[in-house]
Amino acid sequence: MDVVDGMDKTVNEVEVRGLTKVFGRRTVLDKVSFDIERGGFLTLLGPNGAGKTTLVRILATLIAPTSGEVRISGLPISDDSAAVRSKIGLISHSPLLYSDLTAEENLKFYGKLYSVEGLAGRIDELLDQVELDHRRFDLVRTFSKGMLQRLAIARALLHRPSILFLDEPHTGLDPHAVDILEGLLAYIRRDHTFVMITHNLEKALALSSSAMILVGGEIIFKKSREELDIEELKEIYRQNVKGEGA
Amino acid sequence: MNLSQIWAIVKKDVVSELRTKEMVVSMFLFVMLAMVIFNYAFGAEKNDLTPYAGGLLWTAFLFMSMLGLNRSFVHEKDEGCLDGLLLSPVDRSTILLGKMLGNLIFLIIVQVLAVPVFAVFFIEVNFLGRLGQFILSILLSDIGISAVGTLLATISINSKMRDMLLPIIFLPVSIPLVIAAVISTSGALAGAGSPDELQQISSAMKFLVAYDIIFLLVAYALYDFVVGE
Amino acid sequence: MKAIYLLYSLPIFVIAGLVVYFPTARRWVADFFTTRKLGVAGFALLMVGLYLAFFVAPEPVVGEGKKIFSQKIFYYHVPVAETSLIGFILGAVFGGLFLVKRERRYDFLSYASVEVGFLFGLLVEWTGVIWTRSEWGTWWEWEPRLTTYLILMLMYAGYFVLRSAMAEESSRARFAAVYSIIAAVSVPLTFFSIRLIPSVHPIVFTSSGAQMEPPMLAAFLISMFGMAIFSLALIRAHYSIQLMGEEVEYLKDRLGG
Repeated sequence: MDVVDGMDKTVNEVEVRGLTKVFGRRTVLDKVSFDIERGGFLTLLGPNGAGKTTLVRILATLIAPTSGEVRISGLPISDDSAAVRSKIGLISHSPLLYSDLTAEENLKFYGKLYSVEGLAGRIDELLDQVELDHRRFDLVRTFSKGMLQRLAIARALLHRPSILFLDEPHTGLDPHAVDILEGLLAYIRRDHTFVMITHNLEKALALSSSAMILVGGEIIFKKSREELDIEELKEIYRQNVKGEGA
Repeated sequence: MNLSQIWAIVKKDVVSELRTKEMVVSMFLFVMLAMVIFNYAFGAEKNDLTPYAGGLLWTAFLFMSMLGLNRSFVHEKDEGCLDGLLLSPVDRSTILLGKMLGNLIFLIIVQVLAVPVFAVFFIEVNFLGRLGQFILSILLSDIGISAVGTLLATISINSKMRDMLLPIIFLPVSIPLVIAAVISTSGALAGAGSPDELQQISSAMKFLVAYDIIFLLVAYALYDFVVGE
Repeated sequence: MKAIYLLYSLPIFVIAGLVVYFPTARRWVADFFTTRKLGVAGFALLMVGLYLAFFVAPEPVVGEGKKIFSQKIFYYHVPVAETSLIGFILGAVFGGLFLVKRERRYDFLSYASVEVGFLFGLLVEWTGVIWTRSEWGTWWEWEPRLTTYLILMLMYAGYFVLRSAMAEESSRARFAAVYSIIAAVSVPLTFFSIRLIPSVHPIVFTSSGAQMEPPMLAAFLISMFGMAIFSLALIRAHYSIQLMGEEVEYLKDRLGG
């Protein structure tokens, strides 16, 4: 799982150095530093309010850090956000889709924003992958939660990003939709770098190449899969994430 | 700034609006209702309200515009789509211009429907000869409303008060615009009686142009700070 | 007289510029012009101005030898108005600095300036209404200057509503800074737009020096400086209160955590 063919694993896709984010008086992230190798899959765990979502939103250029440096594919995110943005895709608990547009119109819209080449073909291909081809001309407001999430995945992959951020993608999905999501993730696992926030330990560990626990804006645990003792991780997780479905 | 991206944002807004028509219909009905109320508020017997027509028209249009401004961002915010826009590699100014043009188009659609009715209801002079001037004064005012309104609606949608905040911050900033809009629109409807009035109308038009340019620049400069953390 | 305005506002902006651009100058200015010194100096100047206004400056004469005592209020009304505008301009300047530098003190300074500007704006309305009552016998006239200030007051009232409507502290500072700039841009626009409508009220006293005799001018200028310095003291005081409030919150957090 950790050897990714066709990719130079020695290159870091994400480099985070001394990342700090302060909201008012509150320090949400405190000098966070870590790397993710190209093709890696980092699982981000932690209690609510630990700064996981803030971290992902900073990596996705949605929020500017207070201090520190982030490089994605070697590009500092502060310098040329547009170039960085075309390399990233985000799947969060809200699908980021317009409910009064059809599935195809949504993808066309985002495709234009990203200036995707060969857009029509790309949309066909993706709708086929997420098994939504038969609903292509239906309004998104008629979609079930699972279908929305599948379309959201298609949207996030549309511009062929090299890194994907997943912010609790399992939230609110029925078991069948979770299966489809898992299948898709396994399918695209080979040629993307991932950062996933989740509370679902088992599902996450099946795919990940490393795991990280964030508490109070600080990294209290980070290990790659080889050195990872799953029982140890579960124990630390349980201690820090009490009463949150852990 | 990228024209095809701006166009994509405008088209997306227009297509979903044409599908539901909820915004344009409620804006139009608002203006119609305002007209009925005006009739009873200002003399149901003597119906020639030409001298006040510009003021009445802009009272209705200003409040009506806020319905659309709020609506256009409630969509983006509630479905989380503002994040979708911000994630994509488009300039913040592209988002501003796209949303602004969308708002402008909806304003114009409602006005095209509402002005003939308004003229039939309240205007007893023939102003067709000054139609160009009339349209120009409305368009110039619309541009200012869309620029200021898009900027301030983005702020208000991010607040706890949501759409309640917009009137409180939008109306006072748009008062200068309304003053000039009323003068120029009234002038176009009733015609200039004296050289002094003509002078006043032309300075109001110039003021509208200045207001539009100033607030387009302000919105362009500040939008980065409004949409991004 | 326009030159006198310039002369009057120039030192304030020079000092503001120095404070912003040179950290050492900032420290020196901050250490030297303490809130207390500014307050005392401003107050003293205002008292001198009042004395000159009431006991030295002659009452202006209009028509056939009719003296107008109520003109005295202009030694107070006009400086208050000018100072209020300085507050709004400083609010936008500090707001802009906040957006660029993202340092919380600029947010505090911007908030303090706008609030002091707003306070002085209320005084403008109040003194204006008193003048209207004594001159025209009514409590309110849609007179261009008073109307302008009424609109500005409503606009800046929106600033405070906006601040309290923001849940997150950082977005409050950011949006307040943006709005302080929009509002400041709107100030001259409001001023000009009101003047698109010809006023039926003759301007009885302009603040241009043409009709001012030297003692009147002296009283006027001293009041202006006094008011500006006094307002700076208020801004500084407001700023330190916010710093203290922040400190208190921080300590509460520490104790609670």
